[in-house]
Amino acid sequence: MSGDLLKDLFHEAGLQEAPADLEKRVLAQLAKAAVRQPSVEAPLVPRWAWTAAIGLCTLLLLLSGAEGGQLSMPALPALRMGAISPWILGSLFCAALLFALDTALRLRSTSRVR
Amino acid sequence: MNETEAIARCLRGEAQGLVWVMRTYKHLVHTVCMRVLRHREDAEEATQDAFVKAFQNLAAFQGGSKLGTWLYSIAYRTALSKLRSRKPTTSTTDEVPAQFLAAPGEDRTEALDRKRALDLALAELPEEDSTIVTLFYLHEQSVEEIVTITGLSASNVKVKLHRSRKRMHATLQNLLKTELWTIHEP
Repeated sequence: MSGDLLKDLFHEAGLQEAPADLEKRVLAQLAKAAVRQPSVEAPLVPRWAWTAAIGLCTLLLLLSGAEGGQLSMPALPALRMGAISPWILGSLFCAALLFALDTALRLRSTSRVR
Repeated sequence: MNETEAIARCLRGEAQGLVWVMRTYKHLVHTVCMRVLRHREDAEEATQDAFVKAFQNLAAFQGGSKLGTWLYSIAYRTALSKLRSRKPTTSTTDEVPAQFLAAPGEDRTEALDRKRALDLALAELPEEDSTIVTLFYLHEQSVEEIVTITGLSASNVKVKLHRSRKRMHATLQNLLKTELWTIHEP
């Protein structure tokens, strides 16, 4: 017997036996409760990519409206629709649409209990 | 199958993963529930509920602690909540369970084997203390892990461990008179 009797006693006594059919009972309860396992699928486009894309589009939009296309902007320029490229508008629209779709997919939980 | 693979399988909803986790941890989780509830049927129910809760929230397991520690914390909270909801009349907090008592006319000191002596010493502790001692000695959880499981402060856990050891020491010394032993501090 080692010096630490408590540890020895605990290990001698061992564990309390759980019911043999525990696995069956838990699986049945999970199935019965129709457990909705959270989806582990990553979004198609990661969040950082969305943030970068939106940031880039916003920067392009602002630059396109700035006088002479200068990079340093002392103040936000007034938006003039005529000066904005339809490509930028289209990109922004697509980004917003895909962002909404991505968010909706991420929030939707999938249930795949077997 | 290893633990990481089992968790991944559980997250995909595969029954093999769930069964692997249960087979690995069911006795350990059940022991925690038994220490808190001291009632076989209640402990079985708590064990089952703990695994269901764990699997429902497995996505929240970040791997910051061991899977075992995370499961014990769920089992501990599930058992505590069951204990609190139990009617006071069925509470056994200060009672020594009947199976630990010696038969009438039996010389208790001699009749008690070491397992029964341990059960008796644990039964004399409050549920929380009994669970902490079990986690520390049987499950070999560190004080930090016990803090994670119970939500108590580290100093509180250490005080409870020290007090429980002293109390168990006195009980066991009385029951196991022939044993020569010392208790080591963590």
